Amino acid sequence: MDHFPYLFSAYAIVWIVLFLYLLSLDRRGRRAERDLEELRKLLQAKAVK
Amino acid sequence: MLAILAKDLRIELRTREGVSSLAVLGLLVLLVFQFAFPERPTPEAAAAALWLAFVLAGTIGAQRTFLLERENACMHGLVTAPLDPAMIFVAKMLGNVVILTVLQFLVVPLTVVFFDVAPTSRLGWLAVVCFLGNVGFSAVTTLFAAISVRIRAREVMLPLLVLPLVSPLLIAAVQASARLLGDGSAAEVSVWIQVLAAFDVIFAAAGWLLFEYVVRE
Amino acid sequence: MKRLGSWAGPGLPWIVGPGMLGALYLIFMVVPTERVQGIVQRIFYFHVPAAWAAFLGFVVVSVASALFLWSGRAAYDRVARAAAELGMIFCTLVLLTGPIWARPIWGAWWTWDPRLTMTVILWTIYAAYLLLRSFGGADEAVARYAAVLGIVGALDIPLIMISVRLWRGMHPSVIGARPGEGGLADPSMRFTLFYTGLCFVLLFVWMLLVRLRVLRVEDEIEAIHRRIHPA
Repeated sequence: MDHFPYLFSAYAIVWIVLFLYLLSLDRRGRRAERDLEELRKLLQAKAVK
Repeated sequence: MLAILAKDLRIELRTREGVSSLAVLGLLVLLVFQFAFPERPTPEAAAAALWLAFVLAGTIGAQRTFLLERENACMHGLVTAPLDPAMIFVAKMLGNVVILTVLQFLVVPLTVVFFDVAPTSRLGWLAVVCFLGNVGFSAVTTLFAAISVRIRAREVMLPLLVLPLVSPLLIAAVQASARLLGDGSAAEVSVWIQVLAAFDVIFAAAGWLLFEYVVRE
Repeated sequence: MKRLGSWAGPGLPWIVGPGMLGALYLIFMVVPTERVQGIVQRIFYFHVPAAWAAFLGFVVVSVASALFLWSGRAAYDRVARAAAELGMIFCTLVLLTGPIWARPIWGAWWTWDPRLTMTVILWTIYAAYLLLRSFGGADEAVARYAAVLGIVGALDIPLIMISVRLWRGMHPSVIGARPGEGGLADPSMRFTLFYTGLCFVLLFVWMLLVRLRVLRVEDEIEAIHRRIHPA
């Protein structure tokens, strides 16, 4: 039973991939929120005119 | 409140649509169960068949609770009437209890005959178990029938919503009935009756309090 | 919730990411192999924390549902919805990892042990909740229906617990008391379990915040849409 390092690395790689995926989702969500905020300001400015 | 209950029961009495179709359905479930158990049936099998027939027929019957109101747009009238929504819930739930009691009066003797079990000495306790199971089941189905009638795919949704929630009720009712139809001790049965009673109180209260949020337009 | 999101949002991934790597290191490299059960016992360090996260999801759903009905604010509804989705994921993980462990130890993939029964019932309630939402669409009334189900489901939990315990308690047990949980003899085992549990809960919170942001953006787009095209 000396293969634990392999097991560990396999799980670590899976986790890192998953983590990066989640991180990208997080980033994209933030960007969408920012864009939406801008859009709303634009709309408001237009409505004032 | 009594007026709604009386109205629903009068419709049922005149048409007999609900009870008669439910009765045949209950009979069919008992028959199918017989085919599934070819050997000499046990009290456990009898209890399982009894409550399965009850739950299947009851779920389908409960679909109808608000269907008539939906079809004729009467729900709007009911909700806007100067009436506590909780009262509508109570009336509808009692209507279901009555119809399901009729169903039980048919299904229980049939179970006794088909499965050759004799609950002679404990008929009263069996009636208590049936009644408590009926009330708890009606409380849950009435609340969720009001929900499922307003969404798409309502035929699928009601059993999906109701069955997981009534699983503790079902476990308790089947266990208690199996002991009453077989030879369990009174102490064993009383534990299950307590579970059933707790279920009834909790879900009748939940329906009473939450129904308002379901019917609000 | 929005404030919590902006406060915890940027930092949280950098706690969860390395934290989970540390958990994996503990699970595979540090903790000694359980003597009786062997290597397969290590799945517990995933199984039990996932169960905690699933249960946390259920608590969040019911509390948020009650708050939504009480206040009528859409933000609580979004919390309930996101928590239900995540709870479903973790509950599924619990149900998948359990049999992998049970097969070599109990000799069966599945038994009707109280905890298993309860988990599978909770799973079906989650499933019903999510199906209700997907069938119902974005209607405001559907949010209320889902909240009712969220509250009723929470009320059901104690009854489910009692009835499945009594149900199995009266039968002769095939396997005997569940081994393992009480028998985490080595302190490093207990530490690993709690540390991994903490990581899972933080992961749950992070994913919840990410999902919430998407739901919020969706709602706001819908609102703008309605303002431009008042149908």
